[in-house]
Amino acid sequence: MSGTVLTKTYPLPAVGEEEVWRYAACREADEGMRELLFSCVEEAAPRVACRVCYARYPLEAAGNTCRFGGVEWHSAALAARLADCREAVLFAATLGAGFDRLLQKYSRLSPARALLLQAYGTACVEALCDTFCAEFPDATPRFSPGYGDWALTAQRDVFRLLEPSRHIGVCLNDSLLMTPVKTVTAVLGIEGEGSR
Amino acid sequence: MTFREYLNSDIVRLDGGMGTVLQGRGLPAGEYPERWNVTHPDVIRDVHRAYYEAGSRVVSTNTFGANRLKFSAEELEAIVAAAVQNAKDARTAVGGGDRYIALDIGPSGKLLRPLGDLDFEEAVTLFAETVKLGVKYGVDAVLIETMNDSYETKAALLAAKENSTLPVLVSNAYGEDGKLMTGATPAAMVAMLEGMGADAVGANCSLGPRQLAGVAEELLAAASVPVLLKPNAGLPRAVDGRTVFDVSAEEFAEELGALVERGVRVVGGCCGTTPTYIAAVEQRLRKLTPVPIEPKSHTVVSSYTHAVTFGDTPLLIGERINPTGKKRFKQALVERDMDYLLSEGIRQQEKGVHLLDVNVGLPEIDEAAMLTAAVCELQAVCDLPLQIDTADPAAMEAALRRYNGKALVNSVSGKADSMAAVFPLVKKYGGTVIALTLDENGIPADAAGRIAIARKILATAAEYGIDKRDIVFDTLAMTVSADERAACATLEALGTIRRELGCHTSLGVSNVSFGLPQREALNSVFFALALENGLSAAIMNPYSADMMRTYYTYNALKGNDPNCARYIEAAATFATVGAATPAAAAEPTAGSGLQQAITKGLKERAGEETALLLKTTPPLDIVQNEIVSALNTVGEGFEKKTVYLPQLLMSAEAAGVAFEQIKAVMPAGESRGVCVVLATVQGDIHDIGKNIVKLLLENYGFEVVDLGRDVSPETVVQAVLDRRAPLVGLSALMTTTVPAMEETVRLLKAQAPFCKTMVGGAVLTAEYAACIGADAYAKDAMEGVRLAQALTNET
Repeated sequence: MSGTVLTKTYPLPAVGEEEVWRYAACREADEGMRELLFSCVEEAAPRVACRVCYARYPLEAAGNTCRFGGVEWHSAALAARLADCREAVLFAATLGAGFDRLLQKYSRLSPARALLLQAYGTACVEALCDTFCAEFPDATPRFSPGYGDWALTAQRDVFRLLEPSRHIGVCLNDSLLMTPVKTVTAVLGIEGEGSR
Repeated sequence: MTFREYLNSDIVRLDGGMGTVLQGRGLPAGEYPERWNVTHPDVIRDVHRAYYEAGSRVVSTNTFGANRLKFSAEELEAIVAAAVQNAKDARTAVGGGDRYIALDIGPSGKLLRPLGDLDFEEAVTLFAETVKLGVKYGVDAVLIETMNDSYETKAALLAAKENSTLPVLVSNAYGEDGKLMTGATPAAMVAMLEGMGADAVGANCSLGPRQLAGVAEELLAAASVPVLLKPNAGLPRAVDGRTVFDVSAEEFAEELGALVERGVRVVGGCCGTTPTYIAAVEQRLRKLTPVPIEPKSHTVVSSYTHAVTFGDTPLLIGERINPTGKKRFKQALVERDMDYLLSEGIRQQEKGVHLLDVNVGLPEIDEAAMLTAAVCELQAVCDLPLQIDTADPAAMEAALRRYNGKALVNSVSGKADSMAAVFPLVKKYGGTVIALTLDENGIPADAAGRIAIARKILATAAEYGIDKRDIVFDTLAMTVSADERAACATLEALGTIRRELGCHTSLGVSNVSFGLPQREALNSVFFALALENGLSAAIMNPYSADMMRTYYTYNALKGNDPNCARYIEAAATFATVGAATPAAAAEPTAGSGLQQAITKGLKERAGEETALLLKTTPPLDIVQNEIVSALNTVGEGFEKKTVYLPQLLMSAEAAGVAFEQIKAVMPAGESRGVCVVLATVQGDIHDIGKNIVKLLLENYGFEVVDLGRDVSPETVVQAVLDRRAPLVGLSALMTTTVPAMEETVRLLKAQAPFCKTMVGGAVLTAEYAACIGADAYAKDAMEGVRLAQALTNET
């Protein structure tokens, strides 16, 4: 039986400016907006605490279901993604509560800053996931609860297995929303031996 | 020997890991270990017994996650009853004696508001249920552990204190950065927990003993109660499908022993530790005697992130959150406009104050509710410690209870009824209290009278178990216009209290100049004199250039400012005081200037331009001809997709600054528009979209009642009924929260049929909106404004 939950901390990942403007739904940023973004990033950077918790499980995938971590997961899309994989890596990655506080602050005081922080945070947590996933070169692309037919209710099992509240301070509410909000949960399939 | 006697006289031996040991004995991943108390009592008894035999004098019940969020009331009681019985059986099996059982309480697994969705009082109730069961089944102590959020820690400690008289040990999980997940430092935790009466404070889990050494040192430096340490056996690794930890029992015992030599008094192990580790620790401890605990004398307050210590460098307490003499502030309070209050808080923080005074006392409002709301809302956006300022003991208690940290309490006086009302609250919730040197006979004219009152206050505080370090004296600045000796008496009392009583001091500086011209001149010199006489903290106006100049200058001259760095930084702002603002001076046609400032999203410029215009133009003309016109240009650009959302918002915020100035000169109520109630629905915590709609609606003259996020259907309906609002805007981001939106719409239709509903949010579509019964769907914020105009015109 495996399933040891391990935690890792990461430095602030590099995020492309264009990526942020894309998440902010903005095709052209003028100097004033760029200045605002840089000031947001400057304020946010020291408050981001990138943490990941993860566990590896032996995996069986067949048809519309797959099994790992003692759970039968019903999703054809997930089973297809994990087909031919022998191991699953389940993880949760977060920017932490400090960034959430900043979002909340500007959500009340400056929606313009909040919007840019929101976009930056999304780009940042995606980049964090990419950094983590790159450590598993033989893995499939990541797949998250809520993608395709993998129901968001799967989050309950994900949280039971990983206990992210204990390891990285991430909680799930009754509506299946995660706090801190800049958090991603996902699974990777390992095709070969994978990395340690 | 009672547990408390043991705690205060010896090195307390706790047990080691439970969860990881049970996993080794076959507990499947994802199964609740607490159920094994009932299903596998023999295994649990074995583990407890092995710890007792290895040298533990205290074992913790297997109840880490035993709470009502995970278990029904019946199952919870069965689990706690079995858990305590298992520990008792193990104790009997090893011969009883001076061995103890602690009720183990871990985190709820939910984050509290404002970060998460668990209400503070719900959390208290949740922990209280477990505590009551522990008491009922006969534990000797409570161990609150692995808490990674200061607010949840407070809820658990409060529950333990309110429902038992048992000793309570409180331990937090610190990360590699030496802080809790939600940001608190060890010093901040000690301030809050000691203030509330924790019997020991400490750190457990997350790291090995070596990595926790820094946290242990910080705890030791701050705490006057025993410090607890229960590290993991290092960090976990997965080896051949098994979990192994990288610190051996011998290394663990050696490193933990070294920290006991430094002063740690309560030790055990967390994840990965086993009876073997505890036996090795016991071996190491045999050679050691407990290091005596030195009571600390520093005066500390804290927020949810950091502690602030009264010391050689004086502290600034921002006084601007106070309605006295402020028309705009009163209006904001009456209208429950919290954003105004929050921006006052943030502005003062940006000016460099160390604490914020919070006073919301007005005759026409429910002060307890308003003060609590203000404290909670400020703590959602600002990490400075707060000074809770009220004369109403009920408001003081409500706010202290909810405050996340150790507050400064303003104030108590030498009057018997004041001390009888305030000291019990300080004792229960923790806090440092400002004590005014006046009593039933008023304010003594001379210093000697005030010092006598100070002594009386200290003696009475001691009867309540409040140490003098938690009393800060205010010797009451009185105006020199009424008595030319007033300032001298205040300063003399201040100096004597600081030097002879060894207590810290605080003053509301500006009272000294009441009734005189050029008050800033008097205030700033009096401030300097007070600092020189030993003033520890000033309640002051940080927007006053004279006061800030005095403060930075004093620190530079007194050796409180290494390399004069802060003086030099602040001096850059001294130069501009009094000079005309270049932007305003350079602009020939002020009118077009405001429009330009808004379309370009320049907030400061918009403020300056509005101030200029107000000298010559009626406020409503500025709104119609300048602001609305500029907003229309930007709004149309957004609809044509030549302006993007961030630009729209920057413009809206610039317009907001202009509106704020206009509101300040208009009579209250005259600016009021059509009322719209906004809320993010129950269960949903994403509110940026809703806040954007709010900003734009306000720009377009609506009076917005913002109920915030995670709002119940009943609350929305009540707000609509209270104000007879013709329109509600609801936001939901997730498919999982749309049912709550549907329920809110249904309830509105039933109970407030006069009210229209418009909805928006990422997962919604026009069809979906129609399907749940909403009157309109807005795809973005601008459309929300157009719809609001259309829907409220019909009514």
